[in-house]
Amino acid sequence: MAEKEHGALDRMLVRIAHLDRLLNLVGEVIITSNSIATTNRRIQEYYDRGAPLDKMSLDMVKVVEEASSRISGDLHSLVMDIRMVEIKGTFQRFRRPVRDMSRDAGKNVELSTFGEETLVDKTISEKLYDPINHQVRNSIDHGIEDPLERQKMGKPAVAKLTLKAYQRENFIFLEIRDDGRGMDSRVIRQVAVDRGLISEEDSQKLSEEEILMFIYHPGFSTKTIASEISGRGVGMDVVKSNIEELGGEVMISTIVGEGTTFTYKIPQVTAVNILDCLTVRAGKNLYAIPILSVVSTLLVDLSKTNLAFDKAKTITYLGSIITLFDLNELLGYTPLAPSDEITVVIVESKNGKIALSVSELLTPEKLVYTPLEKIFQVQGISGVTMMGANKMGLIIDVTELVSRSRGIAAGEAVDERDSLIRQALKSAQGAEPEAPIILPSGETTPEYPEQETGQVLSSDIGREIAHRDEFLMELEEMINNAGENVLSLERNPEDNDLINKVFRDFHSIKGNLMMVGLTEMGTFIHDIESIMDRAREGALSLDGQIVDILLDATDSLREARNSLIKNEAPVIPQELLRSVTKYKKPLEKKATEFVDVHQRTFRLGPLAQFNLLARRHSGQFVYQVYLSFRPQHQQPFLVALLILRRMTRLGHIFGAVPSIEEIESQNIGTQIKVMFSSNLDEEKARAWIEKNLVKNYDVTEYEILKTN
Amino acid sequence: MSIAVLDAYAERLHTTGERSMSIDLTGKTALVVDDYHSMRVALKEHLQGFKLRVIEAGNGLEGLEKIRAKKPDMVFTDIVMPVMDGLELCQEIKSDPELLNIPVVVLSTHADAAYILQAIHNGADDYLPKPIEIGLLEKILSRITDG
Repeated sequence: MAEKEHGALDRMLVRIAHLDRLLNLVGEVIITSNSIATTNRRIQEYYDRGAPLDKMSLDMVKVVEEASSRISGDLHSLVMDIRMVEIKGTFQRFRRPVRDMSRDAGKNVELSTFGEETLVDKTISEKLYDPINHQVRNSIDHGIEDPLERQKMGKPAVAKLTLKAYQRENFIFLEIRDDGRGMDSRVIRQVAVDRGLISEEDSQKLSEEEILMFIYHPGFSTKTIASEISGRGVGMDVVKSNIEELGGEVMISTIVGEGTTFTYKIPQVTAVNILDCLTVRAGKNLYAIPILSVVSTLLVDLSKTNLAFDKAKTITYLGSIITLFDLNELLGYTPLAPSDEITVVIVESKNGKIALSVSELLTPEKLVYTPLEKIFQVQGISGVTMMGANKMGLIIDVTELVSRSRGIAAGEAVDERDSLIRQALKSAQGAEPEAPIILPSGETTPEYPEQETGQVLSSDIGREIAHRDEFLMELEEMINNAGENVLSLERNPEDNDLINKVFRDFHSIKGNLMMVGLTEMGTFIHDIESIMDRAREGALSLDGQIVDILLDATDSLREARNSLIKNEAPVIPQELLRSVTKYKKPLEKKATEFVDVHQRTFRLGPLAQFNLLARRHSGQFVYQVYLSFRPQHQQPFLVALLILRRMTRLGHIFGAVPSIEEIESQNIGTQIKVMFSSNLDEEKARAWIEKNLVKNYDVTEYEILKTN
Repeated sequence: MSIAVLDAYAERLHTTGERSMSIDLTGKTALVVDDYHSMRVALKEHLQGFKLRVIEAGNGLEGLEKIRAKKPDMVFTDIVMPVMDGLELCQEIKSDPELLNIPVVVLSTHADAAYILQAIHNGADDYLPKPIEIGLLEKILSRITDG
């Protein structure tokens, strides 16, 4: 779901400050390129003269080099900063699912979030949604006890689910914690053995942490009864592989009876293909090894290596024995000539550590990385890069290399294990697992399956929306805010500030929809707004039913937004329409009969009469004017008010038919009569009306009468 | 007593199709106040069609500061906004002798007559319903720039 929603709109908002920084850097690039030109000319001159380069020229080269290295560094970090978003948006999206899931599971769960301001790369924030979602479902379904059980254990009835994010050095940590029943590693071990995932004997060798990781195996589940919500622990394998795709790892800590914490540790890496690498030379070949996987580099005396197996040597590093490989040989090139002393790089992946022998260590560098196209793919090499002096280098895929070093091609092994597990499952259950056992993320069953179709907002499609992408982005933000506030409202239904906030949220959404011409959707949201208006007036209490309507409305807004992205007509579900109709503000009864302007005369109070006499005495003229107007896009009663206001510039108004009060209560057609005094004679007054009212206020007919 | 029947004129006024941008407001400045950038730019582009220079503000308070600093020739404002809403902004402008002659147009939807009425009570000079009809905008510009 996350992928689809965001993938279709692959844009993001950029802070102005970042653009300013970018502009500054562009300025520096221009300056630097100018000095390169100057330096170049100078060197050329010396070369032409056959003179040796002077110190000044060399200094200039150095300055340019320093500047360009600084600028490229700044550019890179700026691009990374631009791509950063707060994790808040991702966290917010769980409020609703947690509420619904826990209700469906008959549990009472409160979600709290910490570290919402933690910055993560935009792509990472999107890719985190699915794993967190699976994990949260799993915690609610399996981890958290039902209220009765909690009560028996003396725990508070409301369970706590916590999402927490923080950054440590170059890693983002993400914790999903519940205060549920925790996991018993003995039970998990037994299930793993029963399922044939591991032999009894091997299982005894594993640490508690390693045993816990079995919950991420495909098909593993400690629940025997299938659950509506999370299947059978299904999808947990997806969690682990998703996190690993991001180069991260999953950790579990649990205390039986107290709860479980799942921690994802994800490197804060570049989405831009720039890698911090250690560059090395082995024979004629240049290689780059991602710094994150380098444990150490050392010089080893050949006499200190030990011979193990047939040919493989091992070295000892910090007390542990590590197998040593010739890097070239491992990749199928000619091995290095033997020497007494060898240069070694120790690398590490999730599958372990190995030592690689190379000829020479070069410098650590930031390298631009180009992934290898499929047909050129070599196991152990993930891409190519340009190193200094226009030389090509190969980027080492450490994970692949470590697997290869053990004589296992990682891909095969996983497949093999997978099919073994499937077989084990099959025999354990005596049947083929049901088809949808592993739901690929996002492809859950539709929420309104085969329901009678709702209202199709067909006139809202195919519309040219000005600044569409930005509008859609702001709309998403508005919908999220509204959803968030509604959920808070559910917990504090008496909070007037919150009620007003939610009212304003829907009001603004409506306004923006209307503004871009999505009037059908806008009209629907107006009904939602009117429900909030009634709540604001105290005419409606915000019970669960109303909250459901509000949440369903935000959902259908999200759906509608997705439809707009795909250029499809938004649909409002029939059921939602029905409940909205039930609660929305009933149409106010307007007076069916408008005041008949021709039948009514002015009724002036004593003060107005006195005022009239006084003005007449001072030489002003008194007029009655009848106006018939035909406003196109504004409401007649408001236009009448605007006309009256405009006429105050012509003179003093004594009275109007209908009266101001009647106009304001909308008892008005498209005609008014006004009595006013003015310094202007009849001809000039008429000219004024022609100029100011006729054209601008769509006056189609008027009569002016001077009274004496 | 005299009668003028202007149906012919009205007819011409209401025919859609080619519409001449009769108003050229070169040299005049409009301030657009809305808390959503996409909404500001949508209106801004319409206004620029009349050669107006457009400045922007994200809420009423920011708007008021810009009005005091830049003295725009007109203000277009959304009504519901954080910090200071459009209704309050109208009041602030119309109670300041230095600013009260700056015309204020509020943006709203047809369904929000009550808000518009309140805005007019607070001194708003006109209102522009969403979605924007360019013909009406032209008329409103003519209303607020005449005399």
